Amino acid sequence: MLSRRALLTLLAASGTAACGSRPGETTAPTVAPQAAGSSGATSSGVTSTTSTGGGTTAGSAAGASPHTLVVVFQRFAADWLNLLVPYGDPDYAALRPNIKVGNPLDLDGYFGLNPGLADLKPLYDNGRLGFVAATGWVPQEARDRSHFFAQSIAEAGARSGAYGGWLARVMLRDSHESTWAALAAESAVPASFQGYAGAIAVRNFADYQHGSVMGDAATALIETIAGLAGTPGERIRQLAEGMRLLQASPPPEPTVSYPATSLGQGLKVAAQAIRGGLAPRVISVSSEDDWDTHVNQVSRHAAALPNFAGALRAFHDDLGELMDGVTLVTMTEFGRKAKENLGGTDHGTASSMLLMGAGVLGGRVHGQWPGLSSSALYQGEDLEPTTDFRSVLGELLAGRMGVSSELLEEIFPGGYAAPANWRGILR
Amino acid sequence: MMQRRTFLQLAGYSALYGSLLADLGRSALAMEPGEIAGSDLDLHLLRRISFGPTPASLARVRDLGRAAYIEEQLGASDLLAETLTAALYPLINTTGSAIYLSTGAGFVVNIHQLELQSAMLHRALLSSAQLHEVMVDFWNDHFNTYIRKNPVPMKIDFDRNVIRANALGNFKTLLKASVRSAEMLHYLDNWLNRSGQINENYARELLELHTLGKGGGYTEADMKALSLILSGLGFVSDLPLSALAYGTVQFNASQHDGSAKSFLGVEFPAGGGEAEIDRALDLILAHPGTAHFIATKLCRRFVADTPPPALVERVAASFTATGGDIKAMLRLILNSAEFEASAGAKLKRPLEAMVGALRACGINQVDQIANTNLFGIPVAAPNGLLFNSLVQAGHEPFGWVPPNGYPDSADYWANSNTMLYQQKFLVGLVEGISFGYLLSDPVSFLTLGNSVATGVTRAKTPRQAVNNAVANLLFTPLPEAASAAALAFVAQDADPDAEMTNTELEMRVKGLVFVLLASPWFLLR
Repeated sequence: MLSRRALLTLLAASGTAACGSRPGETTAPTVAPQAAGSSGATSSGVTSTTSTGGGTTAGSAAGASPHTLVVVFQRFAADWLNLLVPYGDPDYAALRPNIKVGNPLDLDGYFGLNPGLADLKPLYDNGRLGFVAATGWVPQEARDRSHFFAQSIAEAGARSGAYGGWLARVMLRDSHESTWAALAAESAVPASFQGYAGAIAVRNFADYQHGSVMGDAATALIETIAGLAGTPGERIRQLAEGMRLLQASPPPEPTVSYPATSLGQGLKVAAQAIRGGLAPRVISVSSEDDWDTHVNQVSRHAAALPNFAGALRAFHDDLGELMDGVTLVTMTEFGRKAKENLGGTDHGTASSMLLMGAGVLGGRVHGQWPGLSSSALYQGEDLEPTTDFRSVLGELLAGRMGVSSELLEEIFPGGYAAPANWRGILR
Repeated sequence: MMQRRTFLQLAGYSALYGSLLADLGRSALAMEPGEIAGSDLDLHLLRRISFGPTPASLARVRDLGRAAYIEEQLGASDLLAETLTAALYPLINTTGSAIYLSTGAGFVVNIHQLELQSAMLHRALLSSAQLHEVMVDFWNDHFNTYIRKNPVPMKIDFDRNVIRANALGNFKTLLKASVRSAEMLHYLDNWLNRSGQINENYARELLELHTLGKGGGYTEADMKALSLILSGLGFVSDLPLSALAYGTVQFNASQHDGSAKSFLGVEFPAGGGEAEIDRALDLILAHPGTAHFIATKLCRRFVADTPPPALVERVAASFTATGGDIKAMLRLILNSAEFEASAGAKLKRPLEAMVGALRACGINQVDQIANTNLFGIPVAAPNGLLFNSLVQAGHEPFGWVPPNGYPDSADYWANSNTMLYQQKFLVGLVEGISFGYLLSDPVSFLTLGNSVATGVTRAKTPRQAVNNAVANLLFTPLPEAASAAALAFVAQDADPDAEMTNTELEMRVKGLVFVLLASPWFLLR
């Protein structure tokens, strides 16, 4: 763990960097073309919520017990057009003659859920799960169709000029005591935590001992020798420390079964950490549910979506009442082309985000639907992002994690996360 | 339960030992990676161009000198290792239709993939042509395909004919071979890229990951033009022809987009047909962005996660001057001042850490049996300790799904989860029985103990154990504070120069060898 003082030093240093080095983003934030003055009832009939301030939710989180934010990253670009299906959009079926979802589970008369996500429908119906449609980068210069580049800037939370990953910037400004405060419930610490030295990767708590016959004595020697090495030994020392702590109080076993996928395993670890009192503040989880569907999309989704939904549902059910102190959000690096190719979809632009938790204003689809007509599509081929993903994350950080608006601007420079851009996604 | 008793036995001195460790911990050295790696440049070279130094390879480089050793490695092949590998894993030499037929068109369980993965580990562990194996690993990452995407495992053919055949050859030949391989055309979906139903997957990754690199001088329009140029390039995959020639690359003119295109500033008139592909590849290969991107990746692998820009420029110039000669670029990198100054700047990835530990411990084919717990199956075989541990640490051979290949920087690999599974591997390794030790020195085997760890140390006193372990595993001294901590761990409160009983010593030596192989002194390279 970083010492308190080291944290403060880093905080100060990174704060300066974040404020002082973003010449490329000095222009005023582009306000999403959501016509904030007009009412939510658009011609498409979509529920369009605009910001309602959000100050009250931010205030109520301050005194409550520490909240946990779970961030699920759908790696390699999920085709949200076939997950949260805009069946009410007349262009949808025409663009996707072979791969369209013909029998979606209706959500609001315009959007429907892919039947493969049926496990999520009850949570939507009881208001604990919702969506923000057509999310991505509002500024056009940040849009990119490379998986690797798009993932790296999505995890940085800025096109340029910010220190490290966005979750690292959150953690550097957060006060917490736990060794497990920044938990990567996946194989490696993702780029979103880069720049925060305290993040710990755990894929399976049950494996978290080296198993040598020399037991604790070997752990102690590792800790000493790695400590002597200084920075190059920091991860090794941190692992030894984690082994000691978990041996003293092992986390509880799950109460439900999770799908055997990266997401299922990650959410299982996340729930164990929360239920075991390890007090995580931010947990990252990787969804590797076969999202890069250039070909054979229908059959691949049929296999992948029940696992995706099943993992989220298991996490929700496993936590029970503890879910009141947890908010989960999903993101992906970009959406996929509006028009299908030969049975699949190539790289596109806007996607959508899923929100889950007791504090989420669920049971509805937030945001503004730009439409799929050729004139509405970005560059004539992609869904246009109408909500910047940073406004969604910013509203969650403020409303559920107690982050002030000044700090929000340090975490997401450029004003994109400012209250004026919020969609009113929280209760 | 055994462990429980161990703890209780150790409890008597652990208070004293614990306070000693705490004292040592307070005198933190806060070392730089270069200080940990040390100043032995022969050792530095071996850490980079092999899967880990051994006493034999260190003796060879000391004998020849570094420059001559680099030349020897650039030209090396190991016929014995190849023969042995082919004998152990014969399926790695099957070709397209044989792979297709023997796997029932991919519908029956096959062991082809497992044999290929095993062969990869076997060669990394035992081949004396280590630099060749390192480059095979490098290009397999660069031209990554996922071994299980195609149920007909054409990766076998790809690894043999595209990667291994060109690993130290010419990049142009290598790139063109990769384009005309069923494995790549399947992995990046180009076999389904057809006129009117264009699939951009391969064109985008060919530019971004294989050649020019992101920001290397192409536009989205170039990417789209390349996807049209590549349309129609596929391979034989359907019966009846597949029974005879599965995987044979073919250009289907009727599925090719015949329109005029503009690619990298050059006009391609309509109706260019298959010739457009080589024309486009030649434009890509002649572009300075490709030279720069390949130079950057080589320098990242061999020098530092953030490669020195001046060296990258020189290597890119070599690419351009030699037309993509891989040996020339490596020669330049490995003899450079930047390379010499970079000791400790890289972190071993799990493959290098685990295979390196096996090599340091002198594990050979015989030992591998003991460590798998599967009599008769070598350790490199799937289900063995090495293979399973690599899967758990996230570094399964050919197991990376997305097209960018396994990451090559500490940003990704320096995390608690990777380190955890490396440590579990080390415990399985050093606490297991060493048959090689038994065969080479039966007397010591009986008198000192029977684990890999005791085979490495061959000691009777704590001080001998620490000195031998450090010399045999790290090839370089530890700082005083670290060896004092290690000595305190083995001796506890006894005289470090007094002989200990086998049982006591063996148990502590197991812990010692494990800890050293899990330390930055072993893991930095």
